[in-house]
Amino acid sequence: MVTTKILEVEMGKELGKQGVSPLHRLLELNSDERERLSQEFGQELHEDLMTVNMGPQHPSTHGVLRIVLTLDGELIVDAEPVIGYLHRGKEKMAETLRFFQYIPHTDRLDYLAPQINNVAFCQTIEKAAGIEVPPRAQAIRVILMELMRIMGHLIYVGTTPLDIGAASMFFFAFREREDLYDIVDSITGQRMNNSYIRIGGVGNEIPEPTVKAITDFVDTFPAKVDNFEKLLTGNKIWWDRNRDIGVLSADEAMGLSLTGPILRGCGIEHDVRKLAPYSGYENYDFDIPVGGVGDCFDRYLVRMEELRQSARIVSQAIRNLPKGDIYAEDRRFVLPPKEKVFSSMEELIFQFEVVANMKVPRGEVYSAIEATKGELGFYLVSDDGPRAHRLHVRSPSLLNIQALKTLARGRYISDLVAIIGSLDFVMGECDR
Amino acid sequence: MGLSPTDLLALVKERVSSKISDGTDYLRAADGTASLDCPKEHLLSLLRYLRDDCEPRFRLLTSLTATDESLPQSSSPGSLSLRPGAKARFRVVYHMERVGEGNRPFHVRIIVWTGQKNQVPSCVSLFPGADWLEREVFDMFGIVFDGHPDLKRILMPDGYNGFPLRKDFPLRGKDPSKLYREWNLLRLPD
Repeated sequence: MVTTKILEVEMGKELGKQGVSPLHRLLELNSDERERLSQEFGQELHEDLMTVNMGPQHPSTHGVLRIVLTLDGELIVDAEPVIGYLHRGKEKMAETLRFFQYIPHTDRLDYLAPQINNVAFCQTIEKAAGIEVPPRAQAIRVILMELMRIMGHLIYVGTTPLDIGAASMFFFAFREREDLYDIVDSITGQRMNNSYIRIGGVGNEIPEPTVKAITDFVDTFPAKVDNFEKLLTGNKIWWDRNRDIGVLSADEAMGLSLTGPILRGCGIEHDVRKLAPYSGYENYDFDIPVGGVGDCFDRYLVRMEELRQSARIVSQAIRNLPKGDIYAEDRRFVLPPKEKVFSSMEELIFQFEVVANMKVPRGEVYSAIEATKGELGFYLVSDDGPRAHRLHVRSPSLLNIQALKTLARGRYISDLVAIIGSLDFVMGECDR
Repeated sequence: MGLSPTDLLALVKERVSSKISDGTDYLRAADGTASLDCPKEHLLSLLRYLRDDCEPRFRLLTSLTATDESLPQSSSPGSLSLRPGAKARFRVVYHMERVGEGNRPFHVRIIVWTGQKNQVPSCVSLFPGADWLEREVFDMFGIVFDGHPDLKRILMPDGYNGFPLRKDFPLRGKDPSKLYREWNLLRLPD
């Protein structure tokens, strides 16, 4: 029995429907429901179904995701993802923090690829305020974003086979990630949660030895992806566990608002980098891989090809790095360089003005970029003040998890692990 | 090539409803996106038109959120004052996106004004993906979506009292003893 109670919520006096937790949704089926579900799944359902909580501490859910499974034996009759365990109120915080104080908070969204979130947020402010980012800063951003995309996809390449039973991939993928961590560390000063992107530019120059390290990395990396593929793509077990599992048609995927590798796995060439280029992506030569069937295996192939394409973009960007400033010269919004602040009175005043008084003109902006999991968008309403009136994060992970319910119904528990892996979400971004 | 924001507005005025107006009257669109201020009763037909018949077709409902346009100091219920120019307390903001190659624009924004007690039609029948997005808006703002299959809290726990993203919700939260007053409404099946 599902208890649902309509009540007058005291604060505001409007009607709100407060449901019970989904724990007991389908425990008792009436005969009509059972017949309908039996037909849907093509097998006779038993009378008593079992409810199992998967998570929130299950290793294969990659974070604090809880899935309430209603099972008939191993068959998944219903899977209800329950989220919110990592909800930190990032959107509310944005209304009380100054714009540049919020940049470190964006790192904590998709913490596997923090620079992409930084760029997405800073770009929103730049659009709202009309700041032009110099070409060199744009190129450095592209380099970092693509390195982050490689890092994000390597997590997928490492952990999903681990969940399915191919433990050795984890070590290969994380060895490469370690090289990338060293590179990112040498540029930004930190391994994780770097907060390196600034409104109007980037934090500092890429050191000369790092340029060589990046060049070496992107030159050798495609061969390593080939090695990953040798281990996985033709692997009978990997093939069996992913082929025709979690199939989504293109229409279904669009209806579920899915983006990124999942939508591309369904055969739709949709990539914000190509369709609405930002940060100078139109200057680079790269391909958008698409799948055909829309199953877990297609998503895997798309991500593998994206690893190569990202390396291709970085290789073009690092070889043709434009000369010039890494900071926009717009003293209304952009902090002056530190060395000038310590030697010039005017710059010190500008520094103070920007820190204490930076105001973004009244207006609304939606700015989207292609993150590792899909389209990451920031919707900003500014009210001519130093803080956002409203900041909304369009998180790809939230929508990816929502698709889980559709994909898991009628499959077996072992498939669920493969589906969770192929959706590739991060709870920090989902719950915000 | 493609539609400018004014072209798009003229097009939907002609094809969907003449009551659709320019949303930039209230708030400037700093990103140059077309901003369509739509009355509630025409929301679903507008979404359907943009998804199926418009050229280019906006087939993705990318984002669905809301903003609270009340002034923060007016926290006492009953005497709510709104920002100048606001038509109601909340704006529900939809963003739709073109899929794949095609003509500009890439995004379109739809705005629906709603008061505290009014309901907004749910668009889950058109976009199954709007399910969680509408639940989130309900959870954070207390806006009720009419026709939603399972409208309940998503990020905050069941039984939580209050809507965190409203301007009158205190930043440091509320007294914990008052947060879960509705907790006793949660009953397990007999």
